[in-house]
Amino acid sequence: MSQATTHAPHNPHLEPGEGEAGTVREHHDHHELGFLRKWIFSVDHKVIGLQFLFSGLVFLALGGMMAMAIRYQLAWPWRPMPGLAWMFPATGGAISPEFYTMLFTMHGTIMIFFVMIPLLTGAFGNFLIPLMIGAPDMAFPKLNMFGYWTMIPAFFFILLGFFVEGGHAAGGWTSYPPLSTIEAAAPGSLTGQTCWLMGLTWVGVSSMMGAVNYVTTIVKMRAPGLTMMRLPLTIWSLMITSLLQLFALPVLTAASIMQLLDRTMNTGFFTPTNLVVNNITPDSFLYGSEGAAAGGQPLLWQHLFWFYSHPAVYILVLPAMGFTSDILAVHARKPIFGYKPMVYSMSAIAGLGFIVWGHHMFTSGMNPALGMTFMVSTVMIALPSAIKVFNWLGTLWGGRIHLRTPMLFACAFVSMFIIGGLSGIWMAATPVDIYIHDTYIVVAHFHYVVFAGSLFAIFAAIYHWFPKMFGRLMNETVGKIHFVGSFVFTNMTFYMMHQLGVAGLMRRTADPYAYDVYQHLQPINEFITISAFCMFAWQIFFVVNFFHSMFWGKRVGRNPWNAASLEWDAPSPPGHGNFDKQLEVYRGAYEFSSPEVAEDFIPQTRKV
Amino acid sequence: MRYLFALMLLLVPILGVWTFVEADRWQLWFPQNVSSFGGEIDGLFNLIMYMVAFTFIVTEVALAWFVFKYSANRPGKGVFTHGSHKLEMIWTAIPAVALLFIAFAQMETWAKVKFESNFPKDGKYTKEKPIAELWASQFDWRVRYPGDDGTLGTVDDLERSYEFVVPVNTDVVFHLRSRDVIHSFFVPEFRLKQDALPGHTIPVWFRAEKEGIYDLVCAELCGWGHYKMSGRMTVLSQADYDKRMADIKAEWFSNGKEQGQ
Amino acid sequence: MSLRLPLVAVSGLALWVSACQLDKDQKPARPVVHYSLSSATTALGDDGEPLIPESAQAGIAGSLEMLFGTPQAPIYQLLPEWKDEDFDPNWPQYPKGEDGSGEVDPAELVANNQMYWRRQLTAIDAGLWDRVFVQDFTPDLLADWKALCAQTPVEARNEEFKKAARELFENYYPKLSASAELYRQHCLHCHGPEGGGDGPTAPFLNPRPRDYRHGTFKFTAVGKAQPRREDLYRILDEGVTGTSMPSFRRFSQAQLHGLVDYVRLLSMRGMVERSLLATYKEEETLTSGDTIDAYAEVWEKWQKADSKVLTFEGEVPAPTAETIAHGRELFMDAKTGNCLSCHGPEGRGNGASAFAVNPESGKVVPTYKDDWGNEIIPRNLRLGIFRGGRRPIDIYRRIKYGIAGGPMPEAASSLTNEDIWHLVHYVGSLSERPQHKAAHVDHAADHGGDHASEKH
Repeated sequence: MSQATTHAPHNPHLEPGEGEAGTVREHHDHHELGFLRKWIFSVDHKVIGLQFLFSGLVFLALGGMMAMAIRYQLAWPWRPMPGLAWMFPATGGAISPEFYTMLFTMHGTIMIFFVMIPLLTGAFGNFLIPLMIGAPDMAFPKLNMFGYWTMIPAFFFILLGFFVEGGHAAGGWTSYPPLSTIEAAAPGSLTGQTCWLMGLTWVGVSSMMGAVNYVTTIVKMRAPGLTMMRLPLTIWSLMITSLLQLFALPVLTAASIMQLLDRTMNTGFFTPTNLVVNNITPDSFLYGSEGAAAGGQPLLWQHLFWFYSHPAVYILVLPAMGFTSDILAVHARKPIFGYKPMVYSMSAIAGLGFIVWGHHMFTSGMNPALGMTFMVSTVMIALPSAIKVFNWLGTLWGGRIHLRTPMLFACAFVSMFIIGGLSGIWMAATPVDIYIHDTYIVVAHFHYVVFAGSLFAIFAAIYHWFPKMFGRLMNETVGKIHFVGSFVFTNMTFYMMHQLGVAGLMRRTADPYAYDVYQHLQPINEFITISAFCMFAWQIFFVVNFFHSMFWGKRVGRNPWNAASLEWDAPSPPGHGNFDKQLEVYRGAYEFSSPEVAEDFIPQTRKV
Repeated sequence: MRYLFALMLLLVPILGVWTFVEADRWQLWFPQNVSSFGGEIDGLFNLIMYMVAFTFIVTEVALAWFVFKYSANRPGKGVFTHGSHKLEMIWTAIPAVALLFIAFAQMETWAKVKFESNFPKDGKYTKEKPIAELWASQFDWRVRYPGDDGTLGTVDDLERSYEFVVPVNTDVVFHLRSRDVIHSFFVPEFRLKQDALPGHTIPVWFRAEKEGIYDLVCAELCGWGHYKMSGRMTVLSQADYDKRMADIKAEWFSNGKEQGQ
Repeated sequence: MSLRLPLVAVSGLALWVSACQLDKDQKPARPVVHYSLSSATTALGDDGEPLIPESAQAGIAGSLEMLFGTPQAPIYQLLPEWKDEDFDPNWPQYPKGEDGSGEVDPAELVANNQMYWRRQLTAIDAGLWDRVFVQDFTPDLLADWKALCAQTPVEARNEEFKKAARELFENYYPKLSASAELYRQHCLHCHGPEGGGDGPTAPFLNPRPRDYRHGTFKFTAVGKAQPRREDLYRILDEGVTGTSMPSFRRFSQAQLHGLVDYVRLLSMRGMVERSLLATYKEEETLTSGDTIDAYAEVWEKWQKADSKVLTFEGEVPAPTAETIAHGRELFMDAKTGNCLSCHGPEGRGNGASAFAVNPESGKVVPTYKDDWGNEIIPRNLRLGIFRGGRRPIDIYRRIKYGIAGGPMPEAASSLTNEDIWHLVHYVGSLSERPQHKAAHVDHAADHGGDHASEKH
């Protein structure tokens, strides 16, 4: 890595017209763009990726703070809430129960729709896809720009909701009607729920634009010689994720528009007749009611919602699996073990992901015979996940592992994903789920997958691709400190939730200790809360490291990790148009430790 | 450093298994089971737990071991392999069989608890003739017992909030209904959970095998007062049950002379 | 820029903080709640100046604090004449009923405590001391238990200790301050610190939570007088169906009685405040004598409640087709029952006299307001939701004595007892729709809906 290239957006060597999207870059080679054009109204996939990254991290902090408030309440219910006490003068600073319902609703919503999906697909999808397939940009750069810009109304609505009367949506991130559709049912259903639905719909539009773009780019714009089976697994995972989004998102969008109509136009898709909610019968013409249409089905929403949201949980984890595969291979200096089974199992997860949504509804009153079929498909989805885990282990076996920070986070991902995946089997088993549905074991399960799993993979990816983003390395020592604390405190936070769940503790209760069966769980919740605080505080190392390294980190060349895939052939950071040479791909992305050459890796572009 | 990181990864299975082993001692395990099918559910939970624990330990230990062993400063290159077809077949087939076994092992209990065709038919209470109607509303449980005529929905129905009284060792069927939003009937000791859907009447059955007082909790978010929505499941011997029902009836038709009526 | 120094500092700080946290077995302090004066007292005039001078407001606040204490330390000030009667409304003599308003059987409380603390008692019997969990909303018991434990080390805990421990739980009756803490945790967010029905959750509730400060409670057995202890207890115990007030039987009877004590305190405090305000407006001044007089007067009102309890001699008559039919006639008859004028001919609560067109907006608005100034609409009797209870005697009381604080009138003068019973049966039947066949189970959701009328 002798080359000490730095910020080098100018590339005189580029052949004009190379690649279909190459048109955007050819005239920009010799003049600087203004700040607005470069960072705000950019059509460059890398900048758009960074936009997603930064907004995602900002929302991550917001969602994290909400989690801290939730944990505080669970450990010490009805004590003055630090930082929020000013909002509740009458109670002496203790939060109100409807505020608590809002907290966990918005924690879930923000973390899923404004953090994980934008970070995984928005940030890394945008940043990595063209680079890893050797394309100068996305297939539709303007659409890509709109993809981020449609997030702006989403941000607006999701933040607006906090300031409307009654507060933000408080029907859980799943927003089950009639709680969410009938305005009288909850304070958050007054206006907050509408903001929530608008925000979600805009996120959907954004994801849709992104997904179309990703699939087109991956299918049409691969560098010469880069066949589908030579793609890095990150690209495969992003492609499969995009397909999931393409097929599932229209359903969610339709469902949220139906719910919007129920709320604003008095339709009755999800509202049954003759309810009496907060002293109002919505479908009557009596005083206080508006004569809404009724005769709807609350279960319809659950079916539509989970038809999207179950695939969505794979949207939350598949890209993380892709990143992990790449990072494990690079830092273990080993080819990925079982490349094709990896691809097939990811496809199987995606395919099966469409026929398992009913496992969220085992106790919902859905026909129990359906539960039986959903159980079989759900249990079987553990199979491709297991194959992936075994292949990751196979990848590590016999390697020459460099325990750098990205590798540590990737190993932690595997470890945590095993926990999250295995605990899922309990939930898939219908009779067991009768008991554990909506208990803390579910909370433990999805936090192990999404927090300890996907977020750790995001950390790994940030540490791994940071040099490509900014041309500098993140500080290794601080990164390791960050890893150790995060790993320890994450497990301290989430592991005992399994036992809480087995003890029967329900989710979403503001004060469980007034129940006889739960009163003895307070000390363990206190322990979890303190661990969570430590885990949250520990992220200061990441924040400091991230910003410090962005400006003062150690400069690196193109390929600091000696990785083989295409993005490392571009300068760090890549200029507009990405590559400064003609690419020709001769092999897969995982040729490490090959006996063919002296070095322990063969870049995809090297002809041996 | 590799010692530290491998140890951290190794501690996951060690502490993970340890907390599960010790959970019962810390009262972090199932509450006692009192329903006839609860034992089966616990058994299935344990079955899955043991199978999962095996996989958990093997994979986590392997991960820690590989990280420890192969991060050592070894000379030369790593093993150059792109995978093994035979291994892939093995670790596809074995989990597939295990998972299918898990899935099929569940079916009988599931059918027993939830299929309406399997509900008690020849007992005192049936799907058609339930012991009571349990109404969920924000944020209250109300039980409606049929009065002397044995039919629900007539003027002589008795109504009580909070407490649902049932006889012990009897197959009990009741109707679960909701007035407003979705609630969920959950009695941890019964291992029984069923959502109450507005617009639907959902029959539920159970057989409590031990007298006692158990918490009835709402397990589905039903609004700001979700945590307040508690109830009580009181299981009484048949004699006590009859007496209690007589008390409830007397209180219902009270003329207001008794204390507190 | 070197990273080392700030990082060492930050990590050291983080470790120190977490270590401190883990060592301390301490919770964050309980919040401090304040009583404030009602908006009537602090109202501003048209000129932006307070109607009552701030010094007088401070005087009222001071008097109230002298009489009732603070939310952290509530107390009933003792009147001099109570000394002779040996009457003290503060714990522990109070629930035994010296004021004549309701006896509480101590044996019943003990039995209920044994049920309520059954987990703790089992743990005590088994000697599993770390399993004796005392909830956060019983601070006095928690303190007593900790004190008891501190006296005797674990190894010295013999049968005697177990007995003392059992007695502690079995005989638990909360102090007023503990009831105030329970109120803070589970009632305050709706009913507000002074019982003004203005907590943070209150704006979203329909109907609004009860404002105790008028001393008026709707669903009692005593007509429009101040409620008995039993009436308040019954509301806590059964909840008010159709409102956001759930049943609080999850707490022990002793705790509910304690809550009744505290609600009465808040109610009296509000009444005294109103009385002082009225006196001030009349006389432009307040003396300490006024305060004591107002306090004594309010107490007298509450003590008289028991004499007004409404009962019925003999058995409650059973409903028959005839009584229901007769009840329907009375319901419809404009001269006798005249229920339909408000409750509507079908009992849907849409009677003509209950609504009027607002000439300004042209919208239909309710005619009536309740004593608290909220718009009030007649009950929809088709829903089967009767807030004061669906028992025959409950509906009987509502019809006979009316509902305090609302427009529902007394029927005592216009109807005979027999007629009232017929009305009760008719009203009770309005919401009913027999479920004969399970095949109809799924369609029974329109319970109390349009089809119900065809059945009767």
